[in-house]
Amino acid sequence: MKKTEFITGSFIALTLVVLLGVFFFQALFQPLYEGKVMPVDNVNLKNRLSLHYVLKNVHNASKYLASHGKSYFNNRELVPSRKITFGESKNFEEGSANEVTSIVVNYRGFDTLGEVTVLFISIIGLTMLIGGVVGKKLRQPSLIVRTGSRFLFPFILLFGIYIFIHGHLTPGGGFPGGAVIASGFLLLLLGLESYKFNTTASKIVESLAGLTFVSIGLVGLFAKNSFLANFIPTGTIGFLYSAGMVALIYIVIGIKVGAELSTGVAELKEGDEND
Amino acid sequence: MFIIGVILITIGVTFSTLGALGLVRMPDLYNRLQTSTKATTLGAFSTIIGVGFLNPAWLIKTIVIATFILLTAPISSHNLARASHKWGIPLSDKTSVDKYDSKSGKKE
Repeated sequence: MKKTEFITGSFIALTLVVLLGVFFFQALFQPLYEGKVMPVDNVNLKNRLSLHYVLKNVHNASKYLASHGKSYFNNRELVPSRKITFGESKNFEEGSANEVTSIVVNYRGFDTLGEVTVLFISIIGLTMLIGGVVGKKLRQPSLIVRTGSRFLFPFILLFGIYIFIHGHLTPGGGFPGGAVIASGFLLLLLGLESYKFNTTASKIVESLAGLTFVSIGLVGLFAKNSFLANFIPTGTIGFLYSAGMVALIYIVIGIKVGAELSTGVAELKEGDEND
Repeated sequence: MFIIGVILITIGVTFSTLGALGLVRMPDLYNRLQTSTKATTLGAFSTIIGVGFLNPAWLIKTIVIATFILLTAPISSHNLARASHKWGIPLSDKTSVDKYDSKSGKKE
């Protein structure tokens, strides 16, 4: 890399960081629920799914509360008035059936963006430190393993995609789905001697996924006045097309994490060929 | 449907029990690997398919899971046995034939 390119790149990065910092500090000193940043929607606390889960009884929470009195919540406004049914209820916690997903992507979506960045940086560090050091050649696997890994790879890929597409319905989500996809690529790398992992393609896919994540957040910022706010209508709980932005973001995270981890694994095996 | 499911689950449970018995009874690694693989493959396979027959809404899902088990378990145990043979883990005293040893000796 030329020196001038490096200097211009770091200058642009510095400007972006300073602008973002100014933006965040402005947000910190604005009064809550008065300025432009905070109020997303008028949240009705009765509609919170977590309250039903705290009571460990989703279907009969209101009955349970009626029999146990006020000892759980001093404020009577918090008592859930409706019960939650799969395929019928709407707008509880942004319509996601999996409560963990609803917290990870909706309440702390910005934190998830930070997690993805941390993973990215750690993969870069790993490949820089260990990649290319491997000198010992792997032993040739047997015929059964070679055939089996070629046969199993699409199934593993499909399973990973299933995990992150159903992130808002069942346990799972973007990170486990991406890890499963990376394990499929690891199987190919170990099982097939001739397999070459296309590192440049995976890097492009990964950067595009990261860009999509940030741009979804920016669309939320323009539409609902808050970064990573949900701008898609939340459907009915339990359906595939529900939970609005959660499913979209989990698909993006799954692709990004899968590409990242498999790039790391491939670079550990083959070493850095560019240098 | 119900009777088929119960029969399949019974077969699966029987094979799992036999596999657990073999894990205790067999003398060395290779025989134990063989019994335990039979237990996971046939035992888990027919139990899962049987559950699918008991609840027909899950049948397609259970068939997919069972196919995955049927594909992965034999491959992994084959690779375990091969790796431990190459590593030099000894056979039991009662074993009389080791065809893989002579074969690989010629090749390498």
